[in-house]
Amino acid sequence: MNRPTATVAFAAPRAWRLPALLLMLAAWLVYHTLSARLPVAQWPGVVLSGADATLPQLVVRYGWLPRVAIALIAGAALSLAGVVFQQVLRNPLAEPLTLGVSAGAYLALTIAAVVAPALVADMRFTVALTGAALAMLATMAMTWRKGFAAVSIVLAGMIVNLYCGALSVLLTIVFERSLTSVFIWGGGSLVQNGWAGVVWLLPRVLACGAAAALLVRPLTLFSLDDGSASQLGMSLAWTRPVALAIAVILSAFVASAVGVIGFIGLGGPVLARLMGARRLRDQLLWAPLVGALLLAIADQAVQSLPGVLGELLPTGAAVALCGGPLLLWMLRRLHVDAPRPASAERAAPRRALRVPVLLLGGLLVAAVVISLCFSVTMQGWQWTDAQHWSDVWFWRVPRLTASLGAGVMVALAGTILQRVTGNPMASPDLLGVSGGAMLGMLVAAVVATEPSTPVLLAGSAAGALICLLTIVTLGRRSGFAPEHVLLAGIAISAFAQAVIMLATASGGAYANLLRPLQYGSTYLIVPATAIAVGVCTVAAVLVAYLGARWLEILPLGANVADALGVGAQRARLLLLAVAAILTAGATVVIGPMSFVGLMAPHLARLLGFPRARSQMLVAALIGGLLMVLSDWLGRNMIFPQQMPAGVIATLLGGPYLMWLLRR
Amino acid sequence: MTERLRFSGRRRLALAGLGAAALAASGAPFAREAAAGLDARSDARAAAGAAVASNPRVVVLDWPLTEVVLSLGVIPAGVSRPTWYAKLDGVPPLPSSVVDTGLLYQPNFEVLESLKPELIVITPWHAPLRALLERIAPTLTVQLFGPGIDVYPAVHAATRKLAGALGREAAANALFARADAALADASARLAAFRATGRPLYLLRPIDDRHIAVFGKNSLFGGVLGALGIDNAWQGMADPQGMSEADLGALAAHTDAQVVTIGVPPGVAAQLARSPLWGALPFVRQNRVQHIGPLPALGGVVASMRFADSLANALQGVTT
Repeated sequence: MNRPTATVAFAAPRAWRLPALLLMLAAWLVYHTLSARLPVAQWPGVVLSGADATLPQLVVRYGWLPRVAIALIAGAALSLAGVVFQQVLRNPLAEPLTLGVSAGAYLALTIAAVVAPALVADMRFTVALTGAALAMLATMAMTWRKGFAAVSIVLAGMIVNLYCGALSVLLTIVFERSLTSVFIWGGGSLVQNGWAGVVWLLPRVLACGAAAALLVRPLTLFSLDDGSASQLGMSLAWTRPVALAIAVILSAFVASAVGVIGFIGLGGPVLARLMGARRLRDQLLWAPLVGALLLAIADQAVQSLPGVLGELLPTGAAVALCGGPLLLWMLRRLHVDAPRPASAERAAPRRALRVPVLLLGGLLVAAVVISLCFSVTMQGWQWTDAQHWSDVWFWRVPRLTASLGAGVMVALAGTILQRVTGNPMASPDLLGVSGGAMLGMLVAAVVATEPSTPVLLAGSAAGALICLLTIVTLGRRSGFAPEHVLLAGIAISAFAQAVIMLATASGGAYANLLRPLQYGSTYLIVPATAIAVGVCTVAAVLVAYLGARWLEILPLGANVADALGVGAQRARLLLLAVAAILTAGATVVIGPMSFVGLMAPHLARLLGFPRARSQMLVAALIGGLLMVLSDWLGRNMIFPQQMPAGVIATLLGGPYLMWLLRR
Repeated sequence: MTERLRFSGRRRLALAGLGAAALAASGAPFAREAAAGLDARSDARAAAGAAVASNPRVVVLDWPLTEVVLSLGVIPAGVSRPTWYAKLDGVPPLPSSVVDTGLLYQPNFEVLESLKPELIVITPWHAPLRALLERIAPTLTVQLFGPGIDVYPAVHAATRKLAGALGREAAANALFARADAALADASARLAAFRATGRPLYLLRPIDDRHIAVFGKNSLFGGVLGALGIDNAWQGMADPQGMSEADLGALAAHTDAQVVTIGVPPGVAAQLARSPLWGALPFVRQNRVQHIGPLPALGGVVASMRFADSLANALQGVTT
């Protein structure tokens, strides 16, 4: 009976300090918020006086107290899920949010709210679980081959996040007004109005906890690699899916009870490990405790915020605000493999450049002509002949130019990033610069009394620049080790997502304005912007051409590069800066989340162009083609409504990418 | 061609108006509201006389502003997502001939241009589009809500502004006269309730855990003020005058009356199961009345509909 305690004490002599500190903080906050509602003398009556209780006592009994309870339970559950995810995937960054599980649940609920509103009320859990499980499967499928390597998983999770996000946006744009309750739920609100939520959640979380406890022994073996674990007689074949299922179910329970709450699953286990819980057994005990306290503290802190903020801020968003910095901080402690030299894993036969380039160029020209001349009008599909040309050119040419330019830039940025990092999953969407640009645009829109296009563009550029500086500062420590830079980017992206969620969850007037803006505005392009984008594109192509030699050498590894007279660190810094500037320019046009930057370089290599220069050329052509098509589809697909080109590109690219990564 | 379409639309409206008048005569409660807007339009037409023929071609990129334009007797040529106007319970009804101009904040410029409008009506939130819209037609920004603005007076100012721009001053005056009469009527019917001195919570439940409360600066909050009824919600509210609250926050006034507006299906049953809802004094003392769905943001017609529904709901409440 005493054994576990003894083990803990042995493993972590100072284990009690941090929880004690958290407990004291939580207790103080609880005292603070409760005494603001009810004089201390009346506290016992909350529980004891039954039906005779005064109104404030009833409010505490049915509103405040269950909220504390649900915060504790949800925090513990998320933290437990985090520990299991991290153990099974051998990845310290795995948790419901980074794995895409929360985004999947959110998407499923959004769809349900649109298709069958009655479902949401009665079958919230089933819907959330379906979405969460599908998202988990997608993330797993993408990283199976890479043995669930830390960075790959986070990247794949982020891709699932982005894809689910794009789908949600599409639904949001069309069905906006029917989704108010989904928005609130997405912000993660812990508000309770009775004990029903607690009664529902507690036994389910306890059952999952018991199941996890039963799995301690096989789970511990995951500390070894797959081979050694199998030799010790463990069947990875069933342990891994069962453990993952438990964690996904836990996440879905919490998601359907209170909504999307991120980063607790990251913070709980980290703090538990920090205070010395090294063994899985200890982590399974301490992490949920710490997680429960963390969420309770966050929730109580939100409640004690003065006035406007306290009433407006959903707890989930508040937690996410702290999560970004936490992730950045964790990066310093994360061991990341050095970029592997691009091996001969995919030695696609090299091809002559001319024919495919001519073919792609021809396709691009055809796409441009079709996009300009063939579209839906109020009289149906129409080919615009020369005499009507003067009516429509102003609306079609600038945005086509901008889409094309943005496609080229983001494809070049993607090629550069993938070559510099040696990571085929690297993409400008994940560099964080897009997130920064989006944040800048948001600040500009909120601060400016009349948000005009130049103000928004300036905000976006400033945000991208600040982000870039942050990433460079953080990256210097690791000598611009690509994986570190990417992970920093992901942290910033996640932070930006959280802020956007926060800004739009309140459902006010800003939200309606910001939602379309987040996903790019091919829409607001005027000729001047188009010309600017065009000039940037030409400059980008020149710079990329000049950098081709570095891009050829860097994937061979830092040692080879240094030996060949290319200062690896300096070259990386410069190339990253170029990629970031290109991304910032493209983000303004197509928004932060298109998979073009990820897809175009891939396709170029698959087509048989592994060399830097030819890969960039082909990728740029593919990127431009994709964006022109997306813009055309966005204008005509559900006429007269117009979809942001970035979202269409994401929808086009996502399935292809997932299929590609599965192989 | 479009001229013919609009004409048939107008004829349909006239028919609808007749039908509504018949219903109103037979005493159906909602038809009175529907007729309010339609009567306003026929008034406008009578007043404007020959001007009816020169119905200005106007595009409206906002649903509450669509209501204002319709209530001035002008049928817009185009409106963003017209289906949403109906889904948000807009009255007067929008004829189906009105062209869909696309999303609220991303209208389809080519459609706008082919409509050849004489005026485009937008909100301050459309500011990023303004320069582009100006290329198509003169653009008028009309503000119904914003930081530091009370929606109720803003609606009146906006109606006057639009009436001026559309040459419908007479229609506006007639509308205001009708609104004053409707308000006086509602006020008379609410005398008994006013005598109780109870403050009033106006609530719109969102789901089983969250409730939207109408604040003082909301449209309906403004109507309450004009009717001499205290709004029990004194907390903060967003620029539209709404605030999201949890049920516990409604315990502040133990003597308050509650009127819920448009409870979503299913939520009523969920609320009934909640012990916290059951513990609130207005629920215990059976002081909750319901009124049907109304747009939270609208024009003078929406205020009239609200005043009328409120009077119907609270007529019997005398203690």
